[in-house]
Amino acid sequence: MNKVDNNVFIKIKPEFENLLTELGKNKFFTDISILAEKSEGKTYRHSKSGTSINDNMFATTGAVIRLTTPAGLYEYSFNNFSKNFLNTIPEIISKETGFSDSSSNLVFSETRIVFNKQTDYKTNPKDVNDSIITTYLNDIYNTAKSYSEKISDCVCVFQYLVIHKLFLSASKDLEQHLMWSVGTTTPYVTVNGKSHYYYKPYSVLGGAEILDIMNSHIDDACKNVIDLIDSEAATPGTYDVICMPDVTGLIAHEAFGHGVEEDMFVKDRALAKNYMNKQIASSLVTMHDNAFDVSQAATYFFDDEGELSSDTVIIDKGILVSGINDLLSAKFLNVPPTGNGRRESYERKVYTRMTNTYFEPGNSTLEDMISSVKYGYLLDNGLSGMEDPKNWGIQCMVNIGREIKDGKLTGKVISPVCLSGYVPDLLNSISMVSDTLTLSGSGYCGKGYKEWVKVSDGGPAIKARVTIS
Amino acid sequence: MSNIINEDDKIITDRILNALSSNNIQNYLINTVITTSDESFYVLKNNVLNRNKYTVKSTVTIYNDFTDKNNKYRGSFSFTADLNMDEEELSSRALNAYNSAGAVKNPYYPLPLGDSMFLENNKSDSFEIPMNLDSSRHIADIILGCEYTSSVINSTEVFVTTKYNHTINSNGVNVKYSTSTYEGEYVAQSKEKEDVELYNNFKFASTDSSYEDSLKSMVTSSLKSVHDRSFAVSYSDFADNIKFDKIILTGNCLYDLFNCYVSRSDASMIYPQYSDYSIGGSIISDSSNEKLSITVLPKTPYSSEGVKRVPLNIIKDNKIQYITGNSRFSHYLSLPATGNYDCFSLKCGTSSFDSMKSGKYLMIEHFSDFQMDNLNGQFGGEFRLAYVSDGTNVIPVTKGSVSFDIDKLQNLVLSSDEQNFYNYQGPVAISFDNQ
Repeated sequence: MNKVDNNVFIKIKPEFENLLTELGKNKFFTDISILAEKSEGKTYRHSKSGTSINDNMFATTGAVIRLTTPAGLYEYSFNNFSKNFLNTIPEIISKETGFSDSSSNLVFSETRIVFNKQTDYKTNPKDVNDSIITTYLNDIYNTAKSYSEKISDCVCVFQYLVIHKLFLSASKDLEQHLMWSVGTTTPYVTVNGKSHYYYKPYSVLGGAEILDIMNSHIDDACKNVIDLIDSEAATPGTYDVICMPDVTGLIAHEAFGHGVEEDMFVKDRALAKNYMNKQIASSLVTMHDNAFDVSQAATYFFDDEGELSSDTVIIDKGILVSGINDLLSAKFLNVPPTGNGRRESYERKVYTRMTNTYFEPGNSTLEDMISSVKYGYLLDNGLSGMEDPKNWGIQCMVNIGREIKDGKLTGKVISPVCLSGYVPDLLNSISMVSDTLTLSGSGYCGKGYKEWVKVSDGGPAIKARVTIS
Repeated sequence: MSNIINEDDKIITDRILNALSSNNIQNYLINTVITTSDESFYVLKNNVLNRNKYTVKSTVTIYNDFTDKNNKYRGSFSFTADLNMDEEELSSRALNAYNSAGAVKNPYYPLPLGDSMFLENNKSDSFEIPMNLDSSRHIADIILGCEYTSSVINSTEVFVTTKYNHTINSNGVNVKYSTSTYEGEYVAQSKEKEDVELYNNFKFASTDSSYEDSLKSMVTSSLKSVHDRSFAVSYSDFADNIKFDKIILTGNCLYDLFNCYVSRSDASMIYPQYSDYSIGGSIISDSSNEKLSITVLPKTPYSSEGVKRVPLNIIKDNKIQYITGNSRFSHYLSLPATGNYDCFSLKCGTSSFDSMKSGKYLMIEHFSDFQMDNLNGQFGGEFRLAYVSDGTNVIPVTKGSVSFDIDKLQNLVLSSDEQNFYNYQGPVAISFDNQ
């Protein structure tokens, strides 16, 4: 295994330390910090439309200064690290905030926390010739097309991002250097003017080693999309369902995870606030948000406020025991920080955000779970969801529902499937939990319709009772 | 500020052009965007954070032309350049980009043509700096000053953003323009019966002289809606009892709904055969429906490739008149490039909104997350606020879910009343038969 390069900030760090000191001369500025980021990566795409290679859209370089003035919290984002520009920043901020002074001095903590940490990878995508990667994707495309003449397209994507972050304050000098890679294969069928697709994701905290995995699962994705040709509309109702891990993850993330983001507690926008230390799920349910010791795309060593990452147990055997928070929410609520203060980039503010969110596995096998259903569906291929922390409503979209009758799959498929209902009802109905754990980090999470951050979610398969339409 | 913006634009442009020249790169597109912003964040009426931003970024696209078995290909690779990159680093990035572009084997297409003798923007070499922009706090005051019974604004975010765009390509395109917008989001809350909220967002061009009135109207309407939501009962209590004659949709979802036609009219959908639209063809629409006329509207004078954008009546009375698209896909379809559009107007109908609200209907005002599948035409989702009428009484409802197919709508009626959002001008409501 190799380590991500950790020397990216060698030249610029002294300049930022100097800027920190200069800002510290203003007696009106307290709690000063600088977060600098430099992310680089590429996105490769191949489909019927052709091929493209571009910088990953989340590749960025910039920094944000945060400080407190007598008037409140202030931030300044910029992406010019030249000495000339950095020298102008104290004056810019003084002008914007209305507080000018140079009578003070920044005092660095004697116990200043210092570290420089890296994650691992097997194959550096930068070392792989672009044409090899595009050939890989082209091969997957051709495999999909040759699976069946009904397959009209297959969108194949590989992307990676190497993330370097530096956090400086009077009490912290932290660096982290991470790499994640994501692949997706999405075959399409078009029959009688109607199109269906099956979205198959892959993700690692690592590099181009993921390409080998993508090729080995394309047949499975093609089979699933062919099954969708004869899919029918769902008959609305409440059913016993077996949720495959990605749907479990969607529920964990959308239906519950957003509901325990404690910046929503501060705004009185989350029902979960009133249910701390109460039973809100079946005792089979233990749920984590874990950026600390899970190897997935949303793992990090410290968040964008310099708080160390953690494994937060949110639900412990059915009892709601903790939310997740950013530093300001934690201070307001007088709870320990959980290291979930994240920005889309240096250009955006911090919000409480999830990382790797999942249910713990249990003891049942998937086969036993299917066998236990008299009438219901196996739900697979979660697509999207929308949070409702205020009312704990669920809206999740799932691509495939496979009918189960008397413990056996009948072959009938429904699509699309909209899950709705009340979150505690769903969580309390969980009666079986499979013995495997799968996480997927191919997507991004928004706070509403903006502020996109990398997340992963998943879990075991679960048996629950849900309303679908 | 004016000097800094123009200087930074010149610095980064010169560095990039020199880097390209040093590698003898013949075909390129440079899109520089300098962004300034003023942002305010509120919880209730408390200002909890203020932000400012200044960034300079250039998206550099390098094209690599090559032949293979007598066929001509054009590959491309885009990377982001910033002022931290000196000419040496830019030169290295450009060369790497050129090599990466060589791994992209797309059929050849030409770049937009420009006249390098003249700069657009009134033949001035400088950006036009907007004067007298309203501050984010002023806009927040407008929002927080609105009232309706005991409904409140729980949280507010306001972004006043100016973008200075400079686009250059190797074919003589060299255009500059700036745009300023007021945008953000707010959450309306009511505790009158149930404690509920409704999320809303807004966006206005800073040149919209009536934006304050529009924003006040929008926010006040949101406060009324959330008041109604507080009293809303579960939709399932009515689902079996009333057979609705019609469905009425109003609000933001109409943009996503009719954007389906804009999307299907774009070359990027037609070329891979996700859409079968062609000029002279018709959109799928039942003969009982009011005919649709859609005009795409440019919110910036040029596309990201430097194509001059103009309003285009892409669909007139259900007939497709134009196919939009970027230079690549338009060329593949033997059509002129128009640039891409994400704003449009839909011609209103002849029925007033009030007259539409008759009989037994379900009128949906706020979806949790409106879903529109442009490929298949399916749309719907869970709603957070709707109104049910049994022909006499109108009751607010919540927690229902609907699903329809845009290609199978019947008796589609467009209101004569109009609503204007940043990206949509058109009927305030539509109705169609409940199937």
